Amino acid sequence: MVLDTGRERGRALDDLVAMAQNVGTAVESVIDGKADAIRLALTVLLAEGHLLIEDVPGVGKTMLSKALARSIDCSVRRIQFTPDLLPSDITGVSAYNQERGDFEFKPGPVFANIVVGDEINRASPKTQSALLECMEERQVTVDGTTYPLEQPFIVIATQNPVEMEGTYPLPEAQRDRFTARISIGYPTAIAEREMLDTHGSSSPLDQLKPVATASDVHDLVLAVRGVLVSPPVKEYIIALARATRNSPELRLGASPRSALHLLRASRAWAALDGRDYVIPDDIQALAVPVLAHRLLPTAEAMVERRLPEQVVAKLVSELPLPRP
Amino acid sequence: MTMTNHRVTAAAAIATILASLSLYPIFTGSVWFWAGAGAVIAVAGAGTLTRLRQLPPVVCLAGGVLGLLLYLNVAFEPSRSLLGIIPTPESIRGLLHLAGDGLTESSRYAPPVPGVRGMLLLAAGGIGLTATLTDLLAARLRSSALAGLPLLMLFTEPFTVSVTRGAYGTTVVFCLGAAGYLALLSADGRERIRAWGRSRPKPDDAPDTSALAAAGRRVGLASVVVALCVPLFVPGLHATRLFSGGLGIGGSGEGGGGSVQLPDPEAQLQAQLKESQPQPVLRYVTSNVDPGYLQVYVLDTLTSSGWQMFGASTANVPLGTKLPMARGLTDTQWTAPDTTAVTIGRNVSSAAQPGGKAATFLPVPYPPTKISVGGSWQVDPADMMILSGSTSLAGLSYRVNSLSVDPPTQILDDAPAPPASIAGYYLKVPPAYDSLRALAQQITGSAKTPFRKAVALQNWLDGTDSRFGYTLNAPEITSASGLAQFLEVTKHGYCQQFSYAMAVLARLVGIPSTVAIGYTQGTHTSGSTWVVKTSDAHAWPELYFQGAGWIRFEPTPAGVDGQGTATPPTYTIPASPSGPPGSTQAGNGGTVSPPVNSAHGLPGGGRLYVPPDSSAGKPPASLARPDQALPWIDASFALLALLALAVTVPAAARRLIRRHRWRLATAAHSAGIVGVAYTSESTDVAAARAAWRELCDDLTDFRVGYLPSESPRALASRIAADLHFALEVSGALNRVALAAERAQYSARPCPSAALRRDCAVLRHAIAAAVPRRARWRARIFPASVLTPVFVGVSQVVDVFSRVNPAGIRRALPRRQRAAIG
Repeated sequence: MVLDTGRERGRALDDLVAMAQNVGTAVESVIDGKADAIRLALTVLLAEGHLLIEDVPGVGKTMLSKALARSIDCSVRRIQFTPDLLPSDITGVSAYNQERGDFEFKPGPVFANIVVGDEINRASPKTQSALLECMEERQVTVDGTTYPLEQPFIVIATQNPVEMEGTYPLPEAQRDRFTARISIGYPTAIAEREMLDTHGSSSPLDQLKPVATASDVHDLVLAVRGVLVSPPVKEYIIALARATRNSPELRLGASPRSALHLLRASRAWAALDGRDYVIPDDIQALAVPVLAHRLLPTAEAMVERRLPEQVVAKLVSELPLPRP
Repeated sequence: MTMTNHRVTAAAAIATILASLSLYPIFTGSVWFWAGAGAVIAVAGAGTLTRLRQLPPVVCLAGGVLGLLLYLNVAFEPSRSLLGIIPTPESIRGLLHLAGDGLTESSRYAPPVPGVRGMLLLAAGGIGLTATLTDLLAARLRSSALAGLPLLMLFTEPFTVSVTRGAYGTTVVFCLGAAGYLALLSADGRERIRAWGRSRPKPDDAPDTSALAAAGRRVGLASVVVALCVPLFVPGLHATRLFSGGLGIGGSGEGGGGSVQLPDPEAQLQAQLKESQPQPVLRYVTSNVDPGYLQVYVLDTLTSSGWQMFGASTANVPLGTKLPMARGLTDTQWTAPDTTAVTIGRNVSSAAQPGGKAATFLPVPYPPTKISVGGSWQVDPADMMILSGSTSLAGLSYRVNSLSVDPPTQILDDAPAPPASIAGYYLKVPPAYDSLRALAQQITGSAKTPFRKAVALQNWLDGTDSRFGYTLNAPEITSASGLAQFLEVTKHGYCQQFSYAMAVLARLVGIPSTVAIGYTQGTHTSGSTWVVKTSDAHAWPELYFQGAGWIRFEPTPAGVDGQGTATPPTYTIPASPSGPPGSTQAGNGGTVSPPVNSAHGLPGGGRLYVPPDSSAGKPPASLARPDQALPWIDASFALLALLALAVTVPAAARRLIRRHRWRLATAAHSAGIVGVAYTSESTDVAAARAAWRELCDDLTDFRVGYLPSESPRALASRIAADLHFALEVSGALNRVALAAERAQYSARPCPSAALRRDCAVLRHAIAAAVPRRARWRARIFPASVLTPVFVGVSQVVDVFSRVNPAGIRRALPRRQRAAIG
């Protein structure tokens, strides 16, 4: 059901909705039938967070990140993570310039608006942590000099949960830095047929044109920051986080950082709906993608094959809302 | 020693202390209670010590008794003890002596007795022994249910000494005692589950027994409520009847062997007079326009502990067609034959007597000459009591021919001295009453003849000059000291005290006397029919005058401030030669004074007629109905009224809540909501919240329901789909949901103008969408009103869990969490 929120129309949010629709349409032209995943990716972008896409090979993880990157007219860099990748391959390196007789900083691929990290779990922990430091602090320090990253900045990392041989799974502390984790999943039969028809002869990415600029995105991020989060909603976020910490099925609950991510993401989610205020429905919709990848189930829950996603969904369905 | 035993020990001690409250009518003041509570605590402490090791139960019992002895020694004989604590032979002797004193004092005082030391010792010792047994059964032998037996001993104690108990006091004390016992059972139940454990114990090793315990507490509460309420609605089932050991006028004589037990007439008298709602006992049709009293029992033997039956009789004789002549009634020229047809109510029955059957006694006018009655009956020739060991009175009909005795005053004045056969027995007075002889002579000093003395005694007692007063809340006299206390100190009582006093005083001045117990003539209903109720139960003295035989006197105050239907006999009221019939005036020497209500006399005699109901003079129309139907009709009305209340109150409450909710929302418009100056937005917020609560309540009422985790938007979406709302209704639903959402989460609430109308539209739409049964249930029993009531009651019942230390322990972190959160 769509309720008319009766919002007084403001330019920033109107633009945001229009732009989001444009970006969504553009990305959907590449990946059919995955509107939810696309919307979630947009939400993370507007919430100034980072996105982890985890799924089996070949469902379009890289395609989604590339399509999102290409639909926005901004700098995009792709890093293919391999076990021999070094931190300097990401952050950049200081090289000696013979002409100038001085060391010169050669920026790495992380200096871009959108960084696509493919198969992030194939890199060594040392390299992973170098990227994650950039994600958190939005800056790079090389040889004692700090270089700020571009704005907006989003890392879209993918990882493959099936091929675990020769991989370095992300530790919990590093997974916590990703605002949301999504799974794309297999397309429906119709969507798959359409994909075969449309993309059989040429790559759809070639036809994708940017529909927004980095500057637009930056303005919209500022607009999202103005979305109201009322005290009852904040209370609800806290109650949800505490519920995960007290759940007997989880041995690691949601961190305070995750509550912050949930709040930011809910603002973006509400803004994509055209609302200038957050409602508990936004939190409920985002709880699983934002919280589940940070939680660790207990041994009993693992034996019972209870995934953190199911635990979070159950908590959401049971946690009472603040009564009007 | 585990926490288990501590908890059960504490519960047993609390239950004993609460049960000891039932002794309150026996004592004055509260010292006895604290003495008893101290004994209970001492016994609990001793019991706890004995359970530190696994000792045989006998040793535990001995330990409890030893603890009690130590306590009594410290409390009552510290001066003779070693270091004020350890008993010595001297202190033990002192205790025994004190206990002997207590026993002596208990026979001197009528309850309530003052807190003298001997009595306090007995009270503390008795309560302590009960506590010892309770503690042993509950904590050592783990049989908490059986521990109720010693507690029951405490409850039955007041019933054995004929004390006066107030209805409210009895109820409260019963409830407290029951609560203590239930708490003991609850504590024991928890411990059993704890001992056996659960498959997944909680980290604090306290299995969650709350659901089971709550169920037990609810069952217990329901039992107590039913036990208290059922007697209110079931006629014939009254505590006084059950405990009195038979109504006296009734009996269950069919079948069974064993000895025939005699009832206690005085206890039955008291029980019937104290019926909260007088009930019909019998009806009779008589040829006499001014019938006399109906005699049931005659107490002819005066002992130091009261009046008793069958002292003068030799052997009962089978009831023949004609009865022996009444003793002493030799001149029959001023007697008139009467015929009385009596029908006893079907609700008259007696409780079964353990070990035998209750003798039943027939109410008859005195003196009867001929009785036609079915069944096996005997006559006591001395006192003309008609009794049976095998015939039930319930529904019995019989016909009695009797004499109406109205001797002229002159005959009584000139009556010769009683014969030796009468004087030899009916003038016996135990020495305990000698102290009252001076009083008796002082009252009758100016009277010249025995009859005048009798009239003087009647007039001295009957309350005309406010010397004595009538009250049902007076202790029954069971000794000479009790009589002296009544005559000299309390001076208030009912017919038991007055008849007892006059009969004793009459013997002291040389007039043979007995105490008769039965009924007054009752209430005249129509034609020649009279109805006798339990409130007409009465005791009166009968004095012997040679020639007239046994004639009755009426010392009990009569009228609305006394025994309602009692009337003094005409021969004690000399008629005025010039006054109208029934009026009286002072006669010989001014010793006879008119009764207070003589103006209400019946035609044909000077006797008083005051119906027991306050509607003076006019008998209630309902009395013409069959006797046993009356309580059922009252109960039916009460049930109908309860039903009407049950049907109307919840619905009315729901309407009131709705109205109040919208009124508050409107009030916010005029005053601004709390802490916020008036703006149109504050009004919108209040109205939106009212609308949302109203919608949620409607969903609860119609059993559509909502989840606590459902947002307004999600709820609206769900019910619109489930109930297949029309477009207009969906619009109203969306408006209400959006208003609630924005009032709660947005800075700019929606306009509220249409919300009330939207709520009404929604209510009707929901009602139309649900099945008819749910619709009516929502209208009559709205769940939004009833559920909080049930939850509240459940929480009140769960107050028992407070006695459980584990419950308190678990509750603490919750409170702390709440405080932090």
